[in-house]
Amino acid sequence: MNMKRSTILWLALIFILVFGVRLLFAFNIDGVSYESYNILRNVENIKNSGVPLFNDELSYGGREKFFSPVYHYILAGFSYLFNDFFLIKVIPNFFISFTVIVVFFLVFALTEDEFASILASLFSGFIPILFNSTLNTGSVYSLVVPVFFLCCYYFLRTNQNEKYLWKLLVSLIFMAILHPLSLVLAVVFLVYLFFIKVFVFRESKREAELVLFYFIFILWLTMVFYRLALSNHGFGVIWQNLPLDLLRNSFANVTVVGALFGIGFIPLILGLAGLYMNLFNFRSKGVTLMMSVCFVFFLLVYLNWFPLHIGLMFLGVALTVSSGNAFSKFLAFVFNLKSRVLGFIAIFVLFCLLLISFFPSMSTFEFHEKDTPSREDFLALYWLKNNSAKNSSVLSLSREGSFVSYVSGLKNVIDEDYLLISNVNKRFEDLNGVYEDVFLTDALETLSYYDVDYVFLSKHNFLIYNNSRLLFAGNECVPLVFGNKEDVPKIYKIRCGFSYDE
Amino acid sequence: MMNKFVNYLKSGNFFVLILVFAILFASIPIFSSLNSESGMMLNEESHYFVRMISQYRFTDVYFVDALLDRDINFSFYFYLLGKSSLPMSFIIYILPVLLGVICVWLFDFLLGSMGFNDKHSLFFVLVFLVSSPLFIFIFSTVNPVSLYLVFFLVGLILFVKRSYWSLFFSLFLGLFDFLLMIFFLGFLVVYTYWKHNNWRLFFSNFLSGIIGVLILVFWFGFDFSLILGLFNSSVENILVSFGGVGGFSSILIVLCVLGMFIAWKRSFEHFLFYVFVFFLFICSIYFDYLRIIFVLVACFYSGIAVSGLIVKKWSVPNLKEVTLLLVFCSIIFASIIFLRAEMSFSNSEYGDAFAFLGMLDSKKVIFGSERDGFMIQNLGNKRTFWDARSFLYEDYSEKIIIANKLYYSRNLKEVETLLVNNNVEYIFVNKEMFNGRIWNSRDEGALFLYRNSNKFSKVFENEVVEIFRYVG
Repeated sequence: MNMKRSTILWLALIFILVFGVRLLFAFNIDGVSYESYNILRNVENIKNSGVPLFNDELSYGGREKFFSPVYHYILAGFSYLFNDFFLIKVIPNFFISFTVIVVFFLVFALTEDEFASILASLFSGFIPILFNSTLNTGSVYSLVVPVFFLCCYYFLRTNQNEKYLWKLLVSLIFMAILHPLSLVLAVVFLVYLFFIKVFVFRESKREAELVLFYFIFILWLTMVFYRLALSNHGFGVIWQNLPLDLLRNSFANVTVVGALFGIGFIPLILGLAGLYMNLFNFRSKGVTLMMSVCFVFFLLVYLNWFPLHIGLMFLGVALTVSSGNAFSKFLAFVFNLKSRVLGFIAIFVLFCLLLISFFPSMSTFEFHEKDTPSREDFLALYWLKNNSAKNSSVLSLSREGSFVSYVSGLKNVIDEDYLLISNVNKRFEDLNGVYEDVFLTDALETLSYYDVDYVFLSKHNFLIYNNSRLLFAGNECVPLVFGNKEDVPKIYKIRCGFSYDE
Repeated sequence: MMNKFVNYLKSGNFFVLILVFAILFASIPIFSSLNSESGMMLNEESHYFVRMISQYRFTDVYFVDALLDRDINFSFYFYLLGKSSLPMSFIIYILPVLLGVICVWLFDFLLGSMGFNDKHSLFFVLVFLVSSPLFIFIFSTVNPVSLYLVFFLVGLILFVKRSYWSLFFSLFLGLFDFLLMIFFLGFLVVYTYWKHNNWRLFFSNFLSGIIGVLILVFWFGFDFSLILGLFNSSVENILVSFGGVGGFSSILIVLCVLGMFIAWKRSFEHFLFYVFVFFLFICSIYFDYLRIIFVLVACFYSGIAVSGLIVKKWSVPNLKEVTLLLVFCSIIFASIIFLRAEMSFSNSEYGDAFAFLGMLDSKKVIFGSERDGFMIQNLGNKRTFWDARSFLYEDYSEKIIIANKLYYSRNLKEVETLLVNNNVEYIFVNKEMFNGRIWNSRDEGALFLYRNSNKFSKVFENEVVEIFRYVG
């Protein structure tokens, strides 16, 4: 693959631009998201003991966890260079910025058009849903997304050059151990083979063999490593054992408006145009592969088998790649026009449209203030760490659970990892109900059942329940031990319990 | 070495090896149970079958479960074994393995009778069959399906050989289980259509099967609601990876689909057979009797798939070897994972707990989990609040509500009332229940009451079981 030096320079500039903008936005937000604290706890444990928190003494009062630790080990390696907050703000953004490079090579493999590839890679760096979801969260998807599409790129290239075969195998195995989404990748490849047959492309024996190998490898891996989660939850593992209330919000249906704002106007329109052209006119294996990605993720989101925001991330990147193909065709058409003036006008109009559509997308870059804990919450939990018994349990909102354990070093009663927890719906309803309980006996029954020693009322909690205090508290049984009466955060201690001895 | 192995397969002299594998795989759970002296079996429902066989042997009560006082359907399996002079130890430990070996031989004979001469594929077909979790599950425990399958295969063989003796087997299958008879006839119609002959024999079998069902319904008063209740099932129950007991591995399904793809021929007969197999698969989700039939078909196509993969030249030879290794590892892992999960119960400590229950002089009810019900009934000889067959009966939804309260309520008065109203005296708690199956911790829900209230006393405790007595 021969590229101009200027193209490589442009690509490097785009990478730096995307990474720079991400860092700018990330450092503009005070703190890191609640979800990051689970990762930070694992990184800390790896640094101390060499293993992640498979046996977590603080989560839900002590339990076994199950997840792929690869991402945590990678972050732990980087943690010797950065402190915790820098780690979450810099490294995941660094990983996700590589998406622009992968998209460039993917589009170049489809079109051999450097200009279209540069443009597509620029757009891929600013897909709103991808930008938002991986900016300040430390999410594993910041590594999964570029690796997923890297596997797609090597898969496309494997027929052309032997060296790509071994790169593909390494990427596929890395993807498999990184995240269970590798199963979706295997399904994408299967759907791709089906489309190849339907579109009467020349079938590649090597592709079929690779897909067969990968599918069986994934099945074996799933059986060996994920059997505990599968046997406990069955198909419910797809929904990660989320409580029903959270399930409704995470697995919402995709709408046109949602897709427009999540993916971006130009990638969506041009991407769909690219898929349309592949269906009826200019068929290519590469776009067919992107079509398979879109088809599988759309189906998963439509059937509520996949969270909407994650599905849109992958759809966004796949459509951006497909839009590169459409854009290349458009440019070829324009340059073939007899009237040069008309050609330049068309390109100028397109650029205006691109610019106009870019800025509305920027407005969806939300600042994540409500997703990050406040400084006051930190101070409250530091106080609790120094003024409580080591074995105490703290009740908070589920998404704050890991944050509470990280800062205070105390057990939580519920956190955002619901896998392998039995009766999760009952637990979720009971514990959220405490914040709305009026009567002491009702609240104490729940608090005794779950062995709660402290109740933490954060600013985030106040935003949800609009209560600056526990209605049943402020007495001998549940005194206020931190905070003032008018403001949050507050910490209450549970002094009473239920006894059944006669 | 690969060529030597392929030549060995082609020679067809591997049947003894297959039989040895079959005996080995089917015997592992039995040896484990004997070694632990717990008396527990891989399939907890086997305890129910053993108890029923004993009831048929020592009493003349055939239509009512004498211990639990609930209606049951007459079972020819219980009757045949109950009234036979075979010792119970033979029925429990030897007969299932023997039936497994006979079924493997019959399946091999059936394939030969149908003209399947590819020895290379046949080896893998039989290996997948004897190593499948479902084969181990059925032929290591007391189970009616083990006997019915023998009749099923003999009937098919006789039909393929165009013998009218197959009519008797259609009749027997109709008497044993009408669903099995329906799928038996389904195989017959597909085979008859494929060969374009034997329609007279088919209709004779059809009539014979119907007569068997009519005798079962009108003479023995078969209650269909006790079968329709088996609709309480899901896809998860058939996949071992998802914790399904008595299911098959996902790799077997993948290989089956691949095998069907490889063996596909453009003919209506093939299409019809594939539709029938799909229908069989769907029904096997809901009716566990049919799963072994589906596994026979799945193993057949899986053997063809693997044989095809070995013979085919790959563009990347190393990839072929790794893929085949993964296939065989997956097949073996599925069996190992299944055995490990199910044999965790085979523990002498459980045996001690059941023996303790057996010594109690109480006619009252024992409350525990559904899964322990059959074992408590058979090994402890005590009535239980519920068991894994309770869902077949009308009061099941009420029992769920009561059980949830007895698991999770912290209201002592409510718990006491429920215990008294349901005549419960003992509460049986095993390790799995407070390790996540029911509770997440040792003091969660009503466990807190059982452990701390003076109304309960702990009468038995070991590493895996605690038994509490309600003293009132």
